[in-house]
Amino acid sequence: MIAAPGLDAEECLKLLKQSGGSRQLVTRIETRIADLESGNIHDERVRELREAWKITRALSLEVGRLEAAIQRRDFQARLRDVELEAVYQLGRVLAATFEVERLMETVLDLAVTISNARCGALWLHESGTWRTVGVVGNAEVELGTCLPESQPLPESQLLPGATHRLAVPIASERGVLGYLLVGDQERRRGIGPFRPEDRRTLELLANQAAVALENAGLHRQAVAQELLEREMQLAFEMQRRILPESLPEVAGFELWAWNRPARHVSGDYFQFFHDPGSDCLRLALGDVSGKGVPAALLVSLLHSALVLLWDQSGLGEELFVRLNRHLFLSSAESKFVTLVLAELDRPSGSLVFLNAGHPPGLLVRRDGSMEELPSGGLPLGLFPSGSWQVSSRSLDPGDLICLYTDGVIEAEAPFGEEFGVGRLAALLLQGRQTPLQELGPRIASELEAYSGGGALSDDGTLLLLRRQPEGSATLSESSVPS
Amino acid sequence: MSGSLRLTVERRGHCARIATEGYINNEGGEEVARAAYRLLGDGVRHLVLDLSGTRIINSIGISILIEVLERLLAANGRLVFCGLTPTIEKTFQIMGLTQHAVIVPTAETAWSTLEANP
Repeated sequence: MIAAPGLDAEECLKLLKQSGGSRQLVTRIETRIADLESGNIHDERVRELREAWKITRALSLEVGRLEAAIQRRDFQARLRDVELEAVYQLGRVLAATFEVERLMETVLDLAVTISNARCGALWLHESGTWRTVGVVGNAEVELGTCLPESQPLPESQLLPGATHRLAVPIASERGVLGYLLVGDQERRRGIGPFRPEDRRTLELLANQAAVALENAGLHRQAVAQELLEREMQLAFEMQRRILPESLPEVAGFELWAWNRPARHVSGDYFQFFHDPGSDCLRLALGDVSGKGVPAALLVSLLHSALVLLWDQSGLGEELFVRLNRHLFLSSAESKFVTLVLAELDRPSGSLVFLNAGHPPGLLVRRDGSMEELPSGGLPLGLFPSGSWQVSSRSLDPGDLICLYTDGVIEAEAPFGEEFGVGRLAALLLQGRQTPLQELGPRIASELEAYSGGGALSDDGTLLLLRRQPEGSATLSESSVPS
Repeated sequence: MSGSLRLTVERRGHCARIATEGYINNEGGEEVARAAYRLLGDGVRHLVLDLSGTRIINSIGISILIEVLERLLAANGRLVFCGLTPTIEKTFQIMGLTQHAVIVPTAETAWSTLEANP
């Protein structure tokens, strides 16, 4: 370094160290050279100084170029850190929520920012259609847009606003669940196509999205299952409180009842109303349409109406008219109840009954004759009005009444044939003189054996009532077997 | 989210707030820069960048914001960010913006920060 007049070596060195290629510093160097030249000093020393300054300028420009390159590399390295952080955050979001909309929004945001896309869209396949669940930038497609499944899906339709598109499927073992698209990678000046590494990044994000969708689906199923089980348990508890756990003791009569739900909750209803010491026994047997929780709720509705209205109206057509209207207005469309109500006058053995669409009961006389009790009348709750007829029979000592729901006679053998009224009648006839505590379980076990020992296809209920022969002790099953 | 970035500008003396709504990409970043440089040319010294309406920003948008920050610093001004999502705040930390700019939760806090240290 050659020092010039007024400029010592220390200043030259300082300027070199400061050189960062900044225009300000280069300008100062240029000015210094110009000053030297304008001073019209052209001796050898000035010439050497001028050359030194030119070298200094070149070095400062090179240092400046290197510093800019280092800054760009540092910027790119930090961007890689940003991408890693983004993928880490995506993992945290996936673990924290099952909300599909939020998950897909996060995936799309990352896809667009990491790939420097100008726009993006995320489509999911749901219920036979394709729907946008995420839109970013000038994608020229609205959020919530639907396309029918049968329609071909060109990328231009999935992301209309873009010139350059990159699309990857969101796929699982179940198939293609959706598409992740980004459009028009931005440069500082304009847009351009995406690079192979962008496809890899998008595929990574799409895989994460597929896992999230599968997990969300499994979670939904688990929640629905848990909710259903809770509802079933609730309905079971409701029903347990409604159906009788024990049978009343009625002097001079035997009573036996059996109930087997096809599922956890039964749609059959039966009830006894008897005040101890009273001469009147009321029986109810019904079958509610449907199964499970809805059926149990209808049973509850029927029971509460019956408790209130039977006392008010007594047993007659008016009771059925009021019950029918109540159920028609209170229950869901197409829900109905078949029902038989009977009132027994203990001293006389007179049985008065009405039947609303229920299978006819069987009366087995002591002498072996048998008849089907009158039935008919519309099921309750199906239409706003109807008519029902009162019938009556007199039970002599030894006579047996059997009421049942269609789950009993429709129980199927493994080979497909139904149990039928015939088999039931034969068992009743055969055991007409057998105590109900024996006859009832015998019929139940025959029924179960007939259906292969498995669950019945429909709820089944059996009620047996016999007027005891004179001189017999009162025998009733103390609890209701099931 | 629509394509265009929407800006709202509010001025208080030598300070101004630019609130963004939308995606800060190349176009969006340029709009922010134009608004910022106009304000600087009009005598504003300190800026609040309110990104509460922005969910995503790409690398080009970030590089433009860095340029805005550098221009402010060169003019002895200050930049305060507010309304950042956790993701954007983390991104700014990684990119080094937080070394020369302050991040606060809300616009009101940002104004207070600038007024406390004029």
